[in-house]
Amino acid sequence: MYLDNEAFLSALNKLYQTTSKKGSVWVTMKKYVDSDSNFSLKKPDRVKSDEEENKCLVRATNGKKKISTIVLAKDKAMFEKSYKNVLLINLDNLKVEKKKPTNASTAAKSAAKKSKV
Amino acid sequence: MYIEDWDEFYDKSEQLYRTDPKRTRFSFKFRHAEGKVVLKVTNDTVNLKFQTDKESDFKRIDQINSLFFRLTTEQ
Repeated sequence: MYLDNEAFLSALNKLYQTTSKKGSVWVTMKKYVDSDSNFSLKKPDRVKSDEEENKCLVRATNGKKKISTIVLAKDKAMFEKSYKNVLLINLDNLKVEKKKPTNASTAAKSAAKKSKV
Repeated sequence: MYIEDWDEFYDKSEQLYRTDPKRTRFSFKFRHAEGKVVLKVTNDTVNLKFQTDKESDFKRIDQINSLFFRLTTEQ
């Protein structure tokens, strides 16, 4: 189901809530240009014009319900911020490491990891 | 196959998008029951995956979200 940006985010929030006990949610992003979806033309004839804008197609599903939206460049910052908030609310059971990593210790860790590789 | 090193995953993801912007997609899977996150970037030929269950990786998830919002809307 195609939704506008705001409706998509609230529907996404609902998807996360329905899968809080079991199931997963997938969110997929890819580039979208209108000419690629001009189905009246054959594939080789779908040429992108210069003034055509690149957009971001975002889809989400829990395996049953599918939702999607298209984010324009001008709405990107807003959408990104609200999307992050949805994630912050719903990704609430990630493991917190015992020692709260300070900047120094994470830097040391990634350095140690690099030296291993 | 999961990539263990974040920087490697991030750099390869960007590279893959740059070489094949039309087909490359980024998908983010979250499983609340296990508190597990899988990040996947693919163009149907090359497949890059990264997984985590750590809260400290949230900023990385945010980082790659930003990357794809930026890349896909770049003119």
